[in-house]
Amino acid sequence: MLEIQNIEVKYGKATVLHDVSISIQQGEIVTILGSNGSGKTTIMRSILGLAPIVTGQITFLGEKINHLKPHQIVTKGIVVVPEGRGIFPKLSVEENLRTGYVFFENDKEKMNQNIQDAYSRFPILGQRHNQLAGTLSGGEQTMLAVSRAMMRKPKLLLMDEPSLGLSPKLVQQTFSIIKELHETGTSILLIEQNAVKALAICNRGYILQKGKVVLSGDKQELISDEGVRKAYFAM
Amino acid sequence: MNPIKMNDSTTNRTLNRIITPILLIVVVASVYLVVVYENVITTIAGLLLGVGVFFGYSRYPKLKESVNDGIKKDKVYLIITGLILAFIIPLTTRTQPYIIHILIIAEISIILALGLNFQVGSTGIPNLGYAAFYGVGAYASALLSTKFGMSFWVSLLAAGFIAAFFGWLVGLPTLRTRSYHMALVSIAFGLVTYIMLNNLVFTGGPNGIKNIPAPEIFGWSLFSTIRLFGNSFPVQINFYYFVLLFLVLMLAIAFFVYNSKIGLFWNAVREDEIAAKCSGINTAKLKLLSFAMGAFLAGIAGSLYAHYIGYISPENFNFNTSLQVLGMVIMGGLDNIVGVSIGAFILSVAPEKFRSLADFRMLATGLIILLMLMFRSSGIIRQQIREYKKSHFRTELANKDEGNG
Repeated sequence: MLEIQNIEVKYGKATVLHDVSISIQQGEIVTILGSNGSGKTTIMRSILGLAPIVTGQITFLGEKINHLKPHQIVTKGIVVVPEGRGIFPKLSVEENLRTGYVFFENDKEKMNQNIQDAYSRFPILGQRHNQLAGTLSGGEQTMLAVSRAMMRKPKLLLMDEPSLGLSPKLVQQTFSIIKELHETGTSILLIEQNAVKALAICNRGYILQKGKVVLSGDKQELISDEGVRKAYFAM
Repeated sequence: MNPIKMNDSTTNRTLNRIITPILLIVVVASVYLVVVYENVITTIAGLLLGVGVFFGYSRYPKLKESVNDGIKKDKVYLIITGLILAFIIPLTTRTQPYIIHILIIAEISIILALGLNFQVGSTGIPNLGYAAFYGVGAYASALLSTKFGMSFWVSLLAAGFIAAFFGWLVGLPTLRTRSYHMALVSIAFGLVTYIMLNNLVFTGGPNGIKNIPAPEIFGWSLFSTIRLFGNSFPVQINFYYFVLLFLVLMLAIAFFVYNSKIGLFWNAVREDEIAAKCSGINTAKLKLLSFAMGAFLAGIAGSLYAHYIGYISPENFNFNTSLQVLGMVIMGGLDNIVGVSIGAFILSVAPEKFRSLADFRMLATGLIILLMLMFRSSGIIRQQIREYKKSHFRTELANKDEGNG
């Protein structure tokens, strides 16, 4: 559904992405792995229309989407959980959820239905609907960030390093949330540093190094690859 | 709703309902003491009463809870009572036009502060040049009615829209600049406007504009005295009710916007702009809207001020005025409409009441702000969580969970 074709991104004179091509099919979890500064987040930014794309193009469901503004891209059905969860700490849980449901179709019934769905997926959020989001625990904040993204019923969910800076227990929780979402039929593009966990739940993956895709393939291929084992599994 | 609260004793509930009116009476009494009586002792007594109530409220959680509960339940009655009080109080002081003048200035200040709150409170964009919009509105309205002979109503609307246009214009740089940089841009805009008003020929330079006609309603000028039951009322009272009408309208708009999606999305932009973009919020449009709407309110306030006083000069709209309005918003409580209104009321009345202190009156005002921010840095009333109806399923879920645990 999402096709990134040979894009090159430059910040000033520095080329951050060289000729990167990535594709995601309906119903897949695809992961992009890479170390710091390899250009993972830039891929996310270019899908969202926040990075300057020099050449190449991005199509979503057959439609060209580079040069669209972020809010227009969101209306196409791509929703992002930004790095560090991106919840609004001084708004309540319910207010946070409501920000996820934006203008273009002003259907109150549908919004209430989506809020109800969020609360039945994570009942703890329903109990805390009047609590400030900043006072939630880390795991609950992840639930909230995911629920807010799901308010749009996205066709494709992008997650930018959801496990960054979380304790091992929360990382575990976060990945099980992602797995659950995938089982309900959402396509997910997961950008991660935690290769072990990401490879465990993905269908396919890409490995990024210094702005280039150095390896791609399905789960088994990547896990058994010599280079990946050396770099990420220390074996 | 909540099963725990259901079990509360009924005495507690009746107490909740009594305590709000009692508190209201005390607050009104303190305001009345401070504002109406021209006497240092009553002023201080009223202030102490008000501060005492406030401290009691914020120090005792139980009292706070009862009051909040009472306010939530009797919202409609409170609004009606407030309106009646706002209607009656000036009638009791009709022999003192000066007091009514203070109240009118307070009303205009509240409209101003509500406008600035859209930017500073809701959207979190600093604006230190807000007086420029106020000035643009006042000058636009004054020029249209003195030089072009337009009626007050046309000038008023034009003032609002011209100010809104300038707001939109100043909003443009906010799409690229942030925090301190934006503060500098807004200061620059304020200064440029002030200097222009001071030096352009058609604005009358430092002499300003004189003889601005009073508003007319169906040919009846607000500068004519009303006689009723053998009593004559000062002309200020006409203006008081006239401005009150606008104030109520603006408050209604502010509440409506706050509770609508626009208010919520403004908050989202304030909290985290990138995340707001990721949720699909058109941040650029919303930021411009907050500037245009805020400036529109300033323009209306400026027009009302110009036609009330009848004379304006650039000195009314300098950097100092911007800071005063900013003080009202911050002291009242960012993005709390009631709080902002209270802040605006206090900071516009205080300097007038401290006139007996002569040169020290601004010092006294400064002291109020300082004490306020020391003891309650988040403002008089901080932003409240929006409560939404349609909570049946939530309660259901909560009940289920409590049954299990």
